[in-house]
Amino acid sequence: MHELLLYGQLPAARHDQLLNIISGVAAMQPDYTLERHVIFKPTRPLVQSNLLRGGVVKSDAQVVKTKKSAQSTAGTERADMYHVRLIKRVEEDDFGGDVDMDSVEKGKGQGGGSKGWRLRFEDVPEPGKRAALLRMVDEQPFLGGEISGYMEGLGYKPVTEYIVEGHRAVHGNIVLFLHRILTRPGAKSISINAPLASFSDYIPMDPANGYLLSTTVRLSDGGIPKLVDMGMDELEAFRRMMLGVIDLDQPDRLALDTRVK
Amino acid sequence: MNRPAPHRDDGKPKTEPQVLDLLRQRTETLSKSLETFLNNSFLAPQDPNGPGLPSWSEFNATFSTQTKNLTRLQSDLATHHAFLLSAHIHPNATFPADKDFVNESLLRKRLAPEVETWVSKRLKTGKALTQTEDVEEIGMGAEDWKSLWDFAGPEQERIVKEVFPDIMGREDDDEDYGEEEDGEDEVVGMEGRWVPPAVKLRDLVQFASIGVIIPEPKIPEARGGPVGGGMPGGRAR
Repeated sequence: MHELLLYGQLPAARHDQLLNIISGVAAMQPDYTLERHVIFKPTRPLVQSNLLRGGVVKSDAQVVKTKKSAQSTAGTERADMYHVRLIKRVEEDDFGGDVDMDSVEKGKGQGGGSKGWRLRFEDVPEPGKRAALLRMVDEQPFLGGEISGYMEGLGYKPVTEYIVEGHRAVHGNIVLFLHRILTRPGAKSISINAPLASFSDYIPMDPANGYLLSTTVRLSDGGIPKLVDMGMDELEAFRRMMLGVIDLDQPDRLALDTRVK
Repeated sequence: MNRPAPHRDDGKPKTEPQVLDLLRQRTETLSKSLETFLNNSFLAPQDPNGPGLPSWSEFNATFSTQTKNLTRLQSDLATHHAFLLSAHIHPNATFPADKDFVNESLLRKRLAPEVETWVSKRLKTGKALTQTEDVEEIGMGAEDWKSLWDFAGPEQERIVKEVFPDIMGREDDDEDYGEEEDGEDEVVGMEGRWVPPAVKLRDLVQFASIGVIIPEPKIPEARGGPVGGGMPGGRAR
């Protein structure tokens, strides 16, 4: 799957206004979403995990990764390694669990278990001048099992955790997500099994409490130029419609670089 | 009773506001005639000594009028079914629609009478000031007013700079927004000044992608720096 992306930033004072505009444009009540994101970093080169590549969940993303890196780094001995992330949709009730690291480590944590997690891989956006960023993404839901151990076995360790809070609406083929990132500065260790702290412990990453509007068109296949053009046209039409309301722009491609440096 | 023809072609509403206006008319007619019926026949009957009920012929006439009204409304609703389904008055549940003056002012076609009075009064005053021949009397002519306005803008800017030096300073420091500044000012016009966000878009998306923010290299040429490993062919020597 591929994605076309544009972003817009806005101050907190305009959040409600833009939310109203978005719901008007999309003719729907936006869906309030809380998501828990945990970013994983590979600890060893991918080559060692070749044996696991025939495995269940990760196969697509990894096959593409290896193919890509085989092409791009043909001359170098080290293949690129990518961050991946686990995402889980949470509810307000899930916050405020007892953060007792002992019980977590003993496997008694109440983090909601393995239900609802999905693994997301995002490739570096493709180079070239376009009206929007184009990147390959892959998402696979976990059906069950011990995810923490599975990720460890693949050679990934969790590095950052944050909460994404926002409203999602759909306009035509465009997914509009007006959101902000909340982090918990005091967090000591990161584990997907750990229960969430109380909601007030999470503070906006932007001290000015600004919001981000991401507009995404999802393409079943980014290799079909006609499909990419159709998505681009729709996104461009939306960008034009929003002129004077919010500026939609693409950030530096390399800011979305998920490779391990 | 004959079913009324849905629309004559000439009277057909073309645009969406016209559709809404047509529906407004239809419902208004319906509500008005029901009200009249209620008033005339029950609350204040023509014959105070009557049985307190409308006469048969009156009832019959009202019934056929109301049926006509309802049929028209129904057929209009059916014709513009698609548009009406997608139309909704409040963009969001948080819209303060329960405060009735909000809806009323939004539904107005013209300015409220008191606002109109206010506007015309001010316009008159302005006209009198600029068009008066007798410059001596007020001491100001049209030219003088114009130059006063020309002076007021920059002067206000100067005073703001003096009073809030930190606000003005922040804008100058942030050179990254320098190029976009002009465009932003137009776009964010409704908020007044464009205040650069505390965290840049680049940093936000980078944090969202890999969980850390790698500072941008200061000089564009120095790409071999912190992010050099990630640049395709960046290490070529």
